[in-house]
Amino acid sequence: MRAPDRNSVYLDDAALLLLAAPGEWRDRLLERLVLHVQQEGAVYTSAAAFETVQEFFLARSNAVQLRQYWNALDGLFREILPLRGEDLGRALDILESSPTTAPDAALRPAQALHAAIVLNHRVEWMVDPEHRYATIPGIKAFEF
Amino acid sequence: MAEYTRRVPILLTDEQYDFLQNLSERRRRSVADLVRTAFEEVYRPAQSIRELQSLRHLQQHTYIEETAAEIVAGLAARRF
Repeated sequence: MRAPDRNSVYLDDAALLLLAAPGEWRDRLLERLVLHVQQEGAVYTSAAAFETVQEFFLARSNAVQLRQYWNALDGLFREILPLRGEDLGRALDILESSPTTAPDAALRPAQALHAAIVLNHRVEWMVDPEHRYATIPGIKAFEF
Repeated sequence: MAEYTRRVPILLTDEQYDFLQNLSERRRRSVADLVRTAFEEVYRPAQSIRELQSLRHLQQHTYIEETAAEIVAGLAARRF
């Protein structure tokens, strides 16, 4: 397990998709990320997040836009974190311990994976566009 | 003051070592301090510049027509 990485933020699959779409939320996040990087903060995501984004674009036959988006993202991330066996196990732990709520407010299995990656790599904050991570102990939302 | 907790052994040529020793004496700074400063000046800015360039580019372009609300609703509906 890597050492704690202070001043680091993680973008999950939803955050990556929302960064590609027009809207005030995206504009505010980008402004906040600029400030974060200017203060020597690091930005992380994972291969698991990229997979959902790729699926979203390709389901709309947007391969050209997907390639352009990948090119735009190139250089943003300090590291694209891997998905490891220990992350899979921790994701299951998170899912099993997450509170039972209405289906449209429950943690997605993919979100449990992202949370596990963040906790295991000790990334300090998560961008939480769907407001699902706040109930997980140890996860801090990236405020903007 | 920064806390230095990681030791990184590196091998240098005689010429590189002599150069650093000489520079250390002239600037009255330790060799370790010179190496740390070089690291910060050479690598960190480059990383930040790449990150900022990427963010500036993203601020000028969008790649999806759906709104944020539609994307979030779509992800929630998939349940995976």
